Amino acid sequence: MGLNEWLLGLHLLTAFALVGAMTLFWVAIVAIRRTDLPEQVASVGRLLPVGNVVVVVGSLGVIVFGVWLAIALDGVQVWDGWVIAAIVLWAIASETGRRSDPEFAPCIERANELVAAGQTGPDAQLAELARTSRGLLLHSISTVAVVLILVDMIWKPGA
Amino acid sequence: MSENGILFLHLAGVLLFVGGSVAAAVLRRAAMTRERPSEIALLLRAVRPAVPVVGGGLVLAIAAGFWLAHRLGFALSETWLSLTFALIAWMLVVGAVAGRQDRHTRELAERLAGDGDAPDDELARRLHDPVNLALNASMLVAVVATVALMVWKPGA
Repeated sequence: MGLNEWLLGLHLLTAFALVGAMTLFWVAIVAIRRTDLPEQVASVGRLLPVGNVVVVVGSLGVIVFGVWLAIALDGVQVWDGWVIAAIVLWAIASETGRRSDPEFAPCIERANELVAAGQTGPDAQLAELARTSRGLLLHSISTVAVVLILVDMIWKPGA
Repeated sequence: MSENGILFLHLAGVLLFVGGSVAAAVLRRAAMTRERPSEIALLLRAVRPAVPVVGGGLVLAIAAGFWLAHRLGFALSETWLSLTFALIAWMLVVGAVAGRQDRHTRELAERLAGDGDAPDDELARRLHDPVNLALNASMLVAVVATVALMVWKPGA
C-alpha cells in the first residue's frame, strides 16, 4: 500500500463526503420548498449545520488530496490543463455552494421566530422565503460544477 | 461506448449511491435526536427521495462495474472482485432489512403525529434499536471497505 494509493483512497472518500453533503442539501431544499409549516422548516433547518461540516471536510479533503496526488504521481503535473480545469471547477462549486447557504438563512430564521412565538400554522412569508430561486440556482450551479469535475477527472482533456 | 464512458457511469453510480446513503444516514441520525413524532416523521419522510437515488446509483455502479471489468479483462473470480461482490450483497441485504425497519418506524411516527403528537417510548425504542444501528453502521464500513478494494485491488 503505497502513498499514492492512500492519497487516492482519501481523495475518493472525501469526494463521497462532498457528494453526500450536496445530496443532503438537495433533500433539505426539496423538503423546505414542500412545506409552509414553521416547525417542519425549523426541523429541517437544524440539519444544515451537519451538512455544512461534512461539505467543508469533503471540499477541503478533495482539493488537498487531489493536488497532493497530482504532485505525487509521475506523468501528472499540477499545471496540466485538466488539473487546472478541475481546480477552477472546484472553486466554482465551493463558492456557489457557500453563497447558496445564506439564501436559505432568512427562511430558517423566520421559521425559528414563528416557532418561538408559538405560531405553528402555515405562513405565507415563510413559504415565499423557502422558494428562493437564487438559492436553488446557486446550489444547481454547484452541483453541475461537481459533475463536470467528474467528467474532467475521467476524460482528462488535453492530457 | 469508450472505457472512459463506462468508468464515468460507474463512478456516477457510486457517487449517487454513497451520496444518497450519507444523506439518509444524516436524516436518520437527526430523527434520533427528536422526541415529537411529527418532527421524526418529517425527517424519516425526507429519506424517501434519497431511496431511488441510492437504488439507482447502486444498479448503475454494479452494471457499469461488470461492463468495465469485462472490457478491461478482469476475471470476476479475482479476490478483490469476489470480496467486492460479497460486500455489495451484504449492503443489499442489510439495506433492505434496515430500510424496512425504518419504514415501520416512520409509519408509527406518522400515526402518533396524527394522534396527539406526544413523545412515545415505543417510537424512541425503535429509533435507538441497537440492531438497526449496527446494521446501518456495517453499511458504512462496507462502503469504505469497497473503496479500499477498488483502490488497492488486493491479489490483482
